[in-house]
Amino acid sequence: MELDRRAFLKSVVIAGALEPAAGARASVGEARPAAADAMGVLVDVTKCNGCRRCEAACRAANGFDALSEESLKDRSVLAQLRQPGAADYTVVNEITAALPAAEGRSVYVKRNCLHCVDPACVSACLVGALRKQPQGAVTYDAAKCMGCRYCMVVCPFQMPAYEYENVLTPQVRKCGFCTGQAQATNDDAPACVRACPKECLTYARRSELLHRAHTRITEQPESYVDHVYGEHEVGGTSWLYLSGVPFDLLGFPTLGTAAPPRLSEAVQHGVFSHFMPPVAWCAILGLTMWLTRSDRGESAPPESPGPVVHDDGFVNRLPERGKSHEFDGECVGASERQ
Amino acid sequence: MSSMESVWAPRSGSSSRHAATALLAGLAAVGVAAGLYRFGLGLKASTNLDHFYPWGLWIVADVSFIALAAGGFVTAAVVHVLHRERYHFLVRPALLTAMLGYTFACLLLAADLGRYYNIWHPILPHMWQGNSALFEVGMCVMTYLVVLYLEFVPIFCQRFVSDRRHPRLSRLCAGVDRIASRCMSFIIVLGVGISCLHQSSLGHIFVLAPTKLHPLWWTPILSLLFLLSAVMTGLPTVILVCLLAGRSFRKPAPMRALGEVAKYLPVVLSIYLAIKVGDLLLRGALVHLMQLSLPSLMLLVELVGGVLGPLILLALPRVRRSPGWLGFAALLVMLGVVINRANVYWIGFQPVGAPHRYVPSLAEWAFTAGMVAALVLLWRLEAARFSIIGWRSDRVTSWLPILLLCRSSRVGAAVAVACKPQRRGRSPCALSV
Repeated sequence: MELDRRAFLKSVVIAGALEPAAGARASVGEARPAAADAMGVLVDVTKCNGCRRCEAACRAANGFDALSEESLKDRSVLAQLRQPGAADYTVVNEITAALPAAEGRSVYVKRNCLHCVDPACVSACLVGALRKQPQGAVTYDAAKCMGCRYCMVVCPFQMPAYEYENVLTPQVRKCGFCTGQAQATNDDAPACVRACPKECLTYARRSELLHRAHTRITEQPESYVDHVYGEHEVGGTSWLYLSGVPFDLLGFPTLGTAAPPRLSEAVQHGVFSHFMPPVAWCAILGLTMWLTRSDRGESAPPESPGPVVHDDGFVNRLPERGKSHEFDGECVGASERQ
Repeated sequence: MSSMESVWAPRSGSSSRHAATALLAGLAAVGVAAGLYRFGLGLKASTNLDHFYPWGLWIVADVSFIALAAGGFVTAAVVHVLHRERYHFLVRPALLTAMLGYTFACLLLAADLGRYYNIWHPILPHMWQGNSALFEVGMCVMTYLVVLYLEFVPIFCQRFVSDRRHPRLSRLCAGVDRIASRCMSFIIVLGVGISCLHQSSLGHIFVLAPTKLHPLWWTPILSLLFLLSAVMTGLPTVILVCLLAGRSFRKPAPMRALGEVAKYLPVVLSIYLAIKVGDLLLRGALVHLMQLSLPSLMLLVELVGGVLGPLILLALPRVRRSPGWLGFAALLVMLGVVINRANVYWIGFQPVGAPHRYVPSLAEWAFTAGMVAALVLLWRLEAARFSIIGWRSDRVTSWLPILLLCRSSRVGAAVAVACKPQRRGRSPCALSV
């Protein structure tokens, strides 16, 4: 009976704690809006020819092994469906097989961290190593990181990579939107955007990019599907994609419009709202402990049909100081009065 | 002070017991070697973790340890908060289990962390990140670990209080014991409170990954399910621990009281089952159960084998009276919860575009098995050193089912022989400390 009551009590407490969360549910679906001056990049997939100059520029900007001219000419790499990794923040993949035969040609897709407007990785990181910057970038601070890789677990795009081979100081590796490199170049566009010869990448305010993207779709409806990927996906992303073929054929995950952190944080902050529910729960426990203690004579004394609890036949070499097995003050009191 | 041997295996002439001990010690040694391998050569060399599966067996073992260690707070709540004094004998075995369970969970976690030396970072205020479920888990686990060790302080002190050879130590321990006893009510309430918080947060971690966790497990109330399943596995773990410790120390656990405790389990199990099935129905996720796939099979194993099975078994008075059957049912509940944690953290985790599924490496298995073996050995050692087992035995009936279960494997055979019913009437105090 006690357990039953306990479980019931607990569920009541939890239900009560979740109540504010349920109230917040209305806003759960709505993502946190992007900052007005947040920057973004529009990727027009139809214009990319797979030259991989963005990859080379990214490697140079981030200090990874440089890509030589010869390796850029080797187009066999494109077909491998790579994922951005610990030594390359961006990769270009060639998509051919998945496309309808009528399409007749390959599509090149640049993949990198999309810098979500309301990023799950930032919500996940327990030490704040991942941060959403006001200008749009999601940045990483290795000095704070403890390497739990929760960010990798929650990223809907599988973008954070990990230096598993690094024994002592592994880092989470992902595109940092070239944050902090603007001063050096006097141009705050990311290295990949500056390197693109085909004007496939456009760097501007996110709101402006959305406007431009929709204009392009309206002006050339025959060239584009009517979908700006990243406008609403998981609450919006800073990197936006335009394509001539449906995005699921290009390997983009089909995602809802709700930003995962809204639901998760609503529940969490419901349970922890101003620390009231946990404190109340502890107070209930303490009160129960106080009220049901047997020396008040209100509850039945522990009639003991089973074993005598405090009996110690086992380590009875210890001379007794009182009873050696009592555990806390309450219990000592209870047993001594019997 | 007797020889080391008597601590590990108290009864002379029991070669099977020595064999079981040797087996556990061997496993622990292999585990230590695997641990050294991980810290020496890194995660890439020792694990099969990759870009798509950043969490593997060690995290599964981690959350399983924490769930199984829930007995610590459940018994504390039953005995100290609700004052069911007659179950007091459960408290110390549960506390020791919880203490070691959390300690080893932290060890496993440290092995899994890329920058394990930063494990204390959540304490620093400028790194606090209150939106993260993992932050909540980190803070609570750290606090609860301290709470568990504080709860152990009186046990530790009482060991030395009456040590006449060291009067100073004795006086010091008596003083510490007195102070600890004064604060104990507060510590216990704190322990129960924060246990509920982080047990649930361990489930809440995956609410943030709705697109990657299989719909059979992803639900906004994952935290509630994790809390309930931790509560429901707490007592069975303590029951099994008591039964096995009774075997090991030749001081059979009191079946009458254990049976009484077990009477409540079907209630808790059915509450969990009702909420889990209700959640599946409400979210319309039952369609996924209709397809024959690994996740649907694993959910069936989890719910039928780990919840429904023991629910029916424990509802039968015959099962609750027999140590073998009771132990078997308790084991089922424990395995069910471990499978549940594995399902959420491993089987049900399905990242888009992963080229292959994650399968743990040899070193991952070795380290996990080694840590489990080390935990069992340390439990045995500490139970022999400190007064953990304080029950008076009543009559033992049949151990048949668990013996049959054990005999099927070689490891089990050793355990089974070690568990062979004792002759009654022998002194339980053969073990010297």
